[in-house]
Amino acid sequence: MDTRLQTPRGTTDYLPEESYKRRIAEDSFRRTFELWGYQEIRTPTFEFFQVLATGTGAELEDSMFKFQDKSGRLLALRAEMTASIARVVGTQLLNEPKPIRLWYIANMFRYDEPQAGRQREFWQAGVELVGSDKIQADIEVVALMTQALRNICLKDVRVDVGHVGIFKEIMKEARLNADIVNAIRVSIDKKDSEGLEKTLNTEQIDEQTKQILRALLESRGGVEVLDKISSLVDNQKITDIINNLKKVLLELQGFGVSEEFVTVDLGIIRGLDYYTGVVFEAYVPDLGIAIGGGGRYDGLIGDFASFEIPATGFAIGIDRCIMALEKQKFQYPDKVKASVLILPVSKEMNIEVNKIANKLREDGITVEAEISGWSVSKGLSYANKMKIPYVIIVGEEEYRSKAVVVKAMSAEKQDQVKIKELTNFLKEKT
Amino acid sequence: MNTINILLALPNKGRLQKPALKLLEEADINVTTTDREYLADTSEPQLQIIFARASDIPVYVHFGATDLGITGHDLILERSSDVYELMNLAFGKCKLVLAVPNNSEILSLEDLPNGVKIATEFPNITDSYFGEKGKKVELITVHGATEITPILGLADAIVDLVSTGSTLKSNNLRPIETILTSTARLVCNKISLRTKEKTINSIVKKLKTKL
Repeated sequence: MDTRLQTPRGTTDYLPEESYKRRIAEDSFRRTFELWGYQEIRTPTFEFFQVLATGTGAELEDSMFKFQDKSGRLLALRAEMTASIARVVGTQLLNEPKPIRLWYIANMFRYDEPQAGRQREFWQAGVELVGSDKIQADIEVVALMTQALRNICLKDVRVDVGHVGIFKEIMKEARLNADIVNAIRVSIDKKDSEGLEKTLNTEQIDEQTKQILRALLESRGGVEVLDKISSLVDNQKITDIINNLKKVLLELQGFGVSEEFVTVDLGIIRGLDYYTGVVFEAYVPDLGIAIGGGGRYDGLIGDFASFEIPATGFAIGIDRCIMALEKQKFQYPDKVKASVLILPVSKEMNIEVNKIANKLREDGITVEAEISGWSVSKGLSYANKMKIPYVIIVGEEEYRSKAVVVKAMSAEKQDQVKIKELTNFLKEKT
Repeated sequence: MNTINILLALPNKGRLQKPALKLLEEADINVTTTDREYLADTSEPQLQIIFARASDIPVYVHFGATDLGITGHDLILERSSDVYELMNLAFGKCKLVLAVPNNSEILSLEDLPNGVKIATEFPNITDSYFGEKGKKVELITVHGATEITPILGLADAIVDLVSTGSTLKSNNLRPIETILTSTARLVCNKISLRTKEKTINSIVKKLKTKL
């Protein structure tokens, strides 16, 4: 392989057309996050491995790009943003008034097998809401994720909401060893009811716990699912969790996220170890993979500070959003290329051309200036190919009378326009 | 456009194909003929079938290229595909075993020397298995006829599927460790189950009555 001519596996060049689609989505995410009072944060692309590996679990640790600095310390490219932000909060923002609302749009790196919807370098947009352990904070981030996805014009955005605390609490009470807990976790995650039965039958587990675990595997739906679990358990913590999840369903409606778009799924056990509470995933029916997800992580910031600070947040996969928009046949607004090409009749007019171009740019008109020494006819044919709608031709004679010729490419028509009226003339047309 | 259609991937050949088609038939889901090579309609108006390689079906389903699939549990693990395993279909039973030549001095897992050469069609499962056991092995990935690699001196041991054990026997190999047991599964895309739940459940129900 000639490495001079290629990029590493799992990386992509985004040419103007593709960059444009991403820019539109990113601008929209930024506007939405700012409107909800979140502020931008940027952290290093690479950090000490120990920071990035905090709370993320073995699988993600394995998939990090790791390398050494000159003194032999282990560094890694960030694979997700939450650990980095937890470090910033735990070391620099402890005394800030809470809650702290932060957003980011950044590239992440994972050394996995590249596949549809997951390159080795990929982009995420996300938020972290730090300093509140209230269910209202969870509701806000779920609502914000939904709104952010709706604002990029995704249709039929749905959210599944679960809570890792229920499973953790049941396992704590059952006092099973870690291998069994893991086998049960995998079965629930795969909705593999036979696999679950097999594990349940070989272990000393009381009938009530078995029933709850079966219910967790089956638990998808609305309030009725919560009521069912509620009727099976006799544990104050779990009852509190269920009441909180009911609040989530109810209060999301206030954000315009009605019942039909939200489903309770207590089988959601997201891949990262640091989650402690409400977890959620977003998807659209048109794409077979989740486009965003997040949850509460009340212990993570404490790993970087002397005390714990509750927090919740989410990340959206930007590439997956673009895939979903394409599946939904979203029509992007026309890309604004230059609306004007400006040409001198002779190179003696170059200074005048640049003066006029600058004035128009100050007035907010996108102008391409001729720089190749072309004749007027060559310039016109370039404008034609690039679909630039107007060409300004600056000739000596017209310039002496403080005017230029403006040619509308679509109409085969040209007008002589006074330079000081040029901006208004073009703005009326475009 | 708004009717919910379900696409089911079936193995296009191999040991899982016949029992998979038989299961559908018994559940009164008949594959109607088609002029297209890999796509078929069924007697269920909402269900279409696509034929694909069994080893690719976990990937199809993971990314939602199809909603459902029938494939082996071993293949799902090998492709580490994140899918729901809705049903154990019981057929296609087999074991993934570690086997050595009959005349080998290796009698058990503990006897494997570090750096031992192991040929397999299942590099991912094999790698994580030996990783967990703390054994350093050299993997040689092959695509079929794994059992001849020790005879050719390419490998010291193999990790391969056995259903009856006769292939191992006829190649003078003996199993010393079972890595996993597998059967065919009905797998489902994680988003499809959420968005097409009713239709998928009605298909699952039909199949369940026949198991």
